[in-house]
Formats: sequence, C-alpha cells, structure tokens
Amino acid sequence: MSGASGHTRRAVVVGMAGSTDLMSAAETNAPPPPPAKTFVLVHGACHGGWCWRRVADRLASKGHKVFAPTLTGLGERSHLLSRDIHLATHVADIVNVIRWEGLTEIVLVGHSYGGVIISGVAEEVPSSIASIVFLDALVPANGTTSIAGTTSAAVRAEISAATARGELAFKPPPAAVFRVNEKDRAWVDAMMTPQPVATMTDTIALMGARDRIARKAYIRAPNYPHPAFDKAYAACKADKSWRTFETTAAGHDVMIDAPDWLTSILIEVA
Amino acid sequence: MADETTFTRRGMIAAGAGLAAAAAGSAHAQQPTLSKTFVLIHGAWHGGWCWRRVADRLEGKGHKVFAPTLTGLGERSHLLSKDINLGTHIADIVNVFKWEDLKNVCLVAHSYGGWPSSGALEQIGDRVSSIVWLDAFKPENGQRGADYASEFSRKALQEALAKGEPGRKGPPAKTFSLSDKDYEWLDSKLTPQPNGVVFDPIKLTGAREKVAKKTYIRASKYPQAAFDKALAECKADPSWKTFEIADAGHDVMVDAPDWLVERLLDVA
Repeated sequence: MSGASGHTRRAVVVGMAGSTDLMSAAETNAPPPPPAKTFVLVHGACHGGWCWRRVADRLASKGHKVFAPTLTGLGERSHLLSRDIHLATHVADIVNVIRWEGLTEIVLVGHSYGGVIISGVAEEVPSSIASIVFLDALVPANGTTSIAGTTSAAVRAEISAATARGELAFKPPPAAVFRVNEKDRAWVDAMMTPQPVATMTDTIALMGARDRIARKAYIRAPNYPHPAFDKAYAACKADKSWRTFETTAAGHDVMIDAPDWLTSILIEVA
Repeated sequence: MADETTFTRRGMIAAGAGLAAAAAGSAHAQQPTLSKTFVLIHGAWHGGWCWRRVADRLEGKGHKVFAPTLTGLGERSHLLSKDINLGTHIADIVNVFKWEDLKNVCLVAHSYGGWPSSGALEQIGDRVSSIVWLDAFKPENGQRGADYASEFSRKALQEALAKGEPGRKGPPAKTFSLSDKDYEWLDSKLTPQPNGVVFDPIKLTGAREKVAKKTYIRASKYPQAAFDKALAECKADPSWKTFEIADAGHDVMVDAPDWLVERLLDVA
C-alpha cells in the first residue's frame, strides 16, 4: 500500500526530469541550481491556500520555499468565520506569517482580492519584500474598498444578496464564472467557501509602499472579463517600473488552469 | 497545458512511478526515495514556526510538509480570543486534511499537540498511516487538559483566568530547549496559549490506537509525569515503537532536528 500511494511528488519530479535530462546530464556537468527563493502566495476571495497546490508543488520541487497561508474564515480556516473578521485580519494573517517565520527577500504574490491584501502587507513589512506580483488582481488605491466598483459584477451581486439577508459572508460564485477549466470545476466548487462581507467593505490605507518595491509584475488573464483588472493592467503597462504578462490559456484561476506557465513566470520575476 | 492540468495527483503518481523506475535502471546515481506527507502539530505557546528546521530537512529530501499554526498562537496570535476551545484546534487540523486532500499521512504531535491531534484522528484517522507522539500528551476519553498540565501551566492558567485574560504566558525558552543560542529566537516567537482549550473533556473512541504505525518519543531530560506515564504505556504495548533522547530538551525539533528527521523517516 505504501509502495503505491506513498510514491509521490519526489518520484514524479525525479522520474520526469530523469527521462528528459538523462542524456544531457551524462554529457555535460549540470549548471548549479539558481538560488532558492521564498514565495508567499495569497489567494483571492472565497478561495484558500488549497488553490496554489499545483504551483506550490512545482516551486517546492525546484528547491524554493513556499508559504500559501489560508486567510481567516476561508477554506481550511472556514471554521473561524465570524463577524470579527475584517480586511485588517487578512493583512495580519500574512504579515504574521512573514514575522513568525522570519521571512526575508520574499516574492509576494496576490491573486484577485489577494491584491488588496498584499498591498496592505507591503505597508507593514516593506523591507521583507523583494518582488511583488499581482495575478489577475486588484491594485487598490489608498482609501478604497473592494466593493466600490472594483470587484466583478458576479461578486457584487453575491455581496448585495448576503447583505440583504443580513449574513456576514457572501457565497462563492460558481467556478464557471471564473472560467475555471471544465475538469476542475467540481473540485473548485467543492473547495470554495463564503467570504466575509466586511473584508470587501473595509477601506485600505496605503502610503505608497507597494509602488516602492523594486520588482513589480502584473499578470492578466483576459479570458476572465473584469474592467478593473483591465484598467490595472493598462496602468502597469504604461509604467516602466512594472513588468506585465498575459495568458489566454487560463481563466481567472491561473494557478489552477496553467500552473506550469505561472510557475515559470513567477521564477522569472522573482 | 490542458493535458497537464487534467492529470490528477493519482495520475501523476502513476506516471511518475513508471518514469522513476525507468530512470532508476539507468545511469542515474541517486535512486529516488519514496516521498511522504508529514503533518506537524506544535505544542502550547509554540506555532508552526518551531518546525522550520525539521520541515526544511524533510522538504529538502522531497517530502511534503504541512505545519499549521493552531488558532490564537504564533502567526495566528492576532486571533486569540476566549472563543477558542479544543474543538477549534481539532478543526484546525482536520480542515487541513480536508482542504489539501491529504492521505497516507505521518501525523506528528508535540506536547499539547497530542490533545487536538488525538481528537482530529477521530475524524481523519483513515487518512493517517503513521503517528508520532513527540514528548506529547496521550489523552484518554473524557480527560481534560486542565487536569494534566504542568505545575507552571496550571498556575499561569489560574492567574490568567483571575485577570479575565484569554491566554496565559508561557515559560521562558530555557524551559524547553538546551540550545542557549536559540533562546532569543524562541522567546521572541512564543505566544500566550489560549486558556479555553483545556476545559472540554476530549471525546475519543479509539481512533488513535487504530493507526497502523505508532511511535512515542520521550525527551527524558524534560520533567513531565504525564509523558513518563505515556512512554511506559507505549513501551508495554507492542503496537507502539518507542525512542528516548537525552541530549535534547522538550523542543526536540529545535535542539535535535537531524536526529528527529532520521527517526521520522524511519517510522513514517
């Protein structure tokens, strides 16, 4: 039993690499591996650390350190859902991982709503961050809320419905809304959990720390229609201090639809 | 890309195993070891951070490691409240298994971690193939943490409750570790332990004892009668393996990470 199911990632990695690299490795001395990086991956609304599994596995197998914490009240932390959860809770969720793990030279990646969180994190621990990556994400301005025109129409509709019912959290839209590839939709639908409304209605206080980070990148998945992302992408394209990428091979959940492509981009901009 | 992402984990494992077998038969010097999934549960006042040395070593050998921080502690200390009870910490563990879809896991519990881990096994016992109790509590059905805590811990609990505080401060690092160069780091990371986790009687129906592989590790220099008793019980039970370490404090993962990683790989 342990022989079959215990044969996991390392075997996959070594095995697959071995099948293609065997010749070249025998002929030439393999170049030294690039220095390992530390990635902190922040998920979006209604998602959890689970959504990064494919990308985290790929980065870890290349020797990088990966932290993909789940924001309070969501996913594996959904048993903590309460009215006490605010935008500041989610910012603290990430800042505290960085502090308690003593992380430095981080590549900080935020997906979707996670763009608000990493912008807030940059204000608190700017010197810990070497590179910041917005993945089909909000790039909020100081004093804004996620609900005021920046979230998608589908999410706004869920928030209005939850607020009308007096509920503290809004239901995740179906994975199909995020244009998740068809085979993974059932899995994503099973994993997604309600998002506390307060996290979308609190304002974020930003003093420009995000924009002072040395390396900045924006990745857009235009198959997912989202005017606020289009606007953020255009603004980053017009700013020489940002690198920009786009993929039409994925929906909004790029880490699920195109993990190989995303992993290579993250390493490139790290 | 579509082909790539539609590969399920099981599919990848099968494909990988075949390729690995092919590679092993060739000029590749290093034969891949079987990779395991470890879930590491910290003790009172600690957090996932205490496993860093062990986690790095296991990951460096290609293993998968999850070291979640229990609610109210360490990186989750901003969530400290009187609402946190043993059920919260049990759910912290169970939900990692569910959302990450973990199977065939080696579950390692340190110290207080033996309480929520015993409770979690009642729900995810079928996903665990090996347990390692590391200088840890091994509660029986109906017991409460408040009745088995150390003298220090009980006194701190009474004081915190008298002051209406949600948590109680831990002892200094030198209580847990023999590695004095680590005391500053440890003292800066230790956080108050939520008081509410020690009052609920734990509900156990024997799931922990049903796990196929069971190991108890005792750090004999750290005085704790409950751990001495647990070690003696495990020694007398042929379904448990036991180890003792004399040159490490209670925080074996801090003081002797290489030794611990060897043991974990032996018994996983």
